[in-house]
Amino acid sequence: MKPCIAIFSLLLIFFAGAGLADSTPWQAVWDSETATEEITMTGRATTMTVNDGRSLSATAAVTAARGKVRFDYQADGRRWSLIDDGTHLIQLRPHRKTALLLERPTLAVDRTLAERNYVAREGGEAVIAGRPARVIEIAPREGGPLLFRLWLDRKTHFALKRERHNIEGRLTSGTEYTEVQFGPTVAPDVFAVPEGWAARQPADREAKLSLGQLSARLGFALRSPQYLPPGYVLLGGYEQGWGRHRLRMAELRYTDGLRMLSLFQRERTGEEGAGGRGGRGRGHGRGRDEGGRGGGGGFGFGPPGREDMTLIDRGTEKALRYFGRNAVVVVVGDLAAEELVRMAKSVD
Amino acid sequence: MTDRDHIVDRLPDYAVGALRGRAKVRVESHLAECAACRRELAALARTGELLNSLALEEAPSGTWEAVREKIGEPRRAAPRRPRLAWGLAMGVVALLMVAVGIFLQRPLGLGEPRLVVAVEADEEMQATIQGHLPTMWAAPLADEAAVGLRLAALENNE
Amino acid sequence: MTEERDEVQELVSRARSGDMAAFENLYRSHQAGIFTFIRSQVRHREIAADLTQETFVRAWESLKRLRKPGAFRGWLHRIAANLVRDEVKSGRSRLEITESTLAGDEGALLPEPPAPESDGPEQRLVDGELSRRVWAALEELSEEHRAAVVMHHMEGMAVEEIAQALGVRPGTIMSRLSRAREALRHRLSRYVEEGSDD
Repeated sequence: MKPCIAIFSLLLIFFAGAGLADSTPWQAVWDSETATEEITMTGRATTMTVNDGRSLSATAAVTAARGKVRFDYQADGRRWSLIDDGTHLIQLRPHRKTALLLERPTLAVDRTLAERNYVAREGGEAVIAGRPARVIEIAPREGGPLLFRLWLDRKTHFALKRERHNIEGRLTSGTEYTEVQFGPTVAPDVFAVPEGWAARQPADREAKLSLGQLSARLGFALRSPQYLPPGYVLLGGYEQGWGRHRLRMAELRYTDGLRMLSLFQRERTGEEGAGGRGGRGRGHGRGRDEGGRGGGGGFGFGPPGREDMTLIDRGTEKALRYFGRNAVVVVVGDLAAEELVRMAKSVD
Repeated sequence: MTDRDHIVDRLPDYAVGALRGRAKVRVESHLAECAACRRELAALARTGELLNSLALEEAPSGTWEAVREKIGEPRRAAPRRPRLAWGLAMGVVALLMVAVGIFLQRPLGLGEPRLVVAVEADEEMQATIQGHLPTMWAAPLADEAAVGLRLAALENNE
Repeated sequence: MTEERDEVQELVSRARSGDMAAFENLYRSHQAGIFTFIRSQVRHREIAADLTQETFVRAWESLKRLRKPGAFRGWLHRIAANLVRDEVKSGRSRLEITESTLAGDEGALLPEPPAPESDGPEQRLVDGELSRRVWAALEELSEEHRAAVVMHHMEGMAVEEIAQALGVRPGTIMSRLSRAREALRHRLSRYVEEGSDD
């Protein structure tokens, strides 16, 4: 009897070790996405991100249940909280007892598209927060630096640690759990604005619109870019308005399955001197310095008749503004500068 | 108030018929005395009605003919598609390389818009980058904790 | 409902023995459901059409292996779901995707409104702003949630049937329908809240 059991056990260990019992790397990734939506957990994590050239970091107490999540951050003696209740991102400022609500887009995970453009492969094993984790690496199928590295809890598929790299391969954000508990009871009011707090909410609800509808709303004919970086598809058009001046722009949103790309567009205003290309000879605008900052008041759109492009590299993504003949275009995405330039210029 | 929160949370489950036994009874007895929850349930029910009323999309004309043609043929032993896809993929890569090559050779010089690499964003560009953040939050495999740090940073700057 | 089932079983038996006319009948009554189901997960219309074709071709070839003829619809969906999954690995040319999006045809994301004469006996939303809005809201769900909504609300499949077809527990389907309902209720608040014009 004993030799049979021993042989059986050895075979089991062999097959488990050989990973034949494992799901494919992509399946593990999608399982972790589903886990995020379905499990209940509490935990603590350290998180860091590049932001505008500097590095930010904090620790956070995390609570998640039924697709909602709450982060209670702590850094440099400050405390603040962020809640995702599925429809809004709610920023809580405890010392002021105010809450700011932002529209939370619901973006479908297009697995077909993601798997078309990226490969997922095994990256080994590790222990995170005292739990065995399977490491999965995701990189562009066409080659290039790693995009994600995920450490997935063997039992629940939850991502105990994740790292993201930008298009140049630089690590731009990471979060790692130091403690985690699955299945605790979570009261629903954890994800609500506390009673008695003042809540600020933007007026417009995000609605997906067609190009025609957006054009009608903004009062000028919007154009689609004739060039799209390889692998990207259009998700939809949205009307956006932010800032003190309530600047209204159309947003065309694209994805390659994992990376997001936005093209914002608005009409050139009169003071920007909408006119033909080739601003040579029309003179430089006054008060505008080389750094791309606005002169005078308002947004500082630049000198009349001058077309140029301003590039900001945030690390996590880049933003490129292009003054076309009729429209001003800003492209925001994690891509090589040439790609952003090409896309922006293809709009006019 | 906490009791109501519990119920509101379960209304979608109730609306699709997922609740049984005690949970179902608890929701129903609460509904009997809470007009707000009844309104919410009505909204959920109307959502269901809207979904029920959507029409299916017909497959493009000619699909049946294509099916019948394929059924009539004996199945080939080796599938053709992978080879075709591989050839196409190679062709696409070649095209892209040529396209990128041509693009990179075009100088951004005289007559072309000038590219200025800025260190700081003006208000307009700041607004677009910030406006992009909720999209980053909601993106697949997003590191929400990390994106949250950026949201907070811009809040502090306001 | 049971009458429909019996009819399907009858057709399946005949198709199994090579009756092409019977299979065509099965095609006619299931093509819209399958196409809409595939379309809910594969954005590109031509690819969805190809996969629909392939679903029925495979169904014809493996009809004999269907153990319960009454479960034909669910079985057909399982074939379709597997094809959608395999599609990813087949490595179709990226150029196809890029071309369609360069045309700026956002309509490619939403289904074509059905031709007027294809109305069924029930009142159906044909064309119109509301239908497009509902589809746009559906677009924003995950593929799994969208597939569950298509199968349950549009094709009228029971939770058990959907669960069997997709190889998951009924509870999982319930959960997807519940989450979808919640999300859509908010997306479509203008149309479903009290005091809204329909």
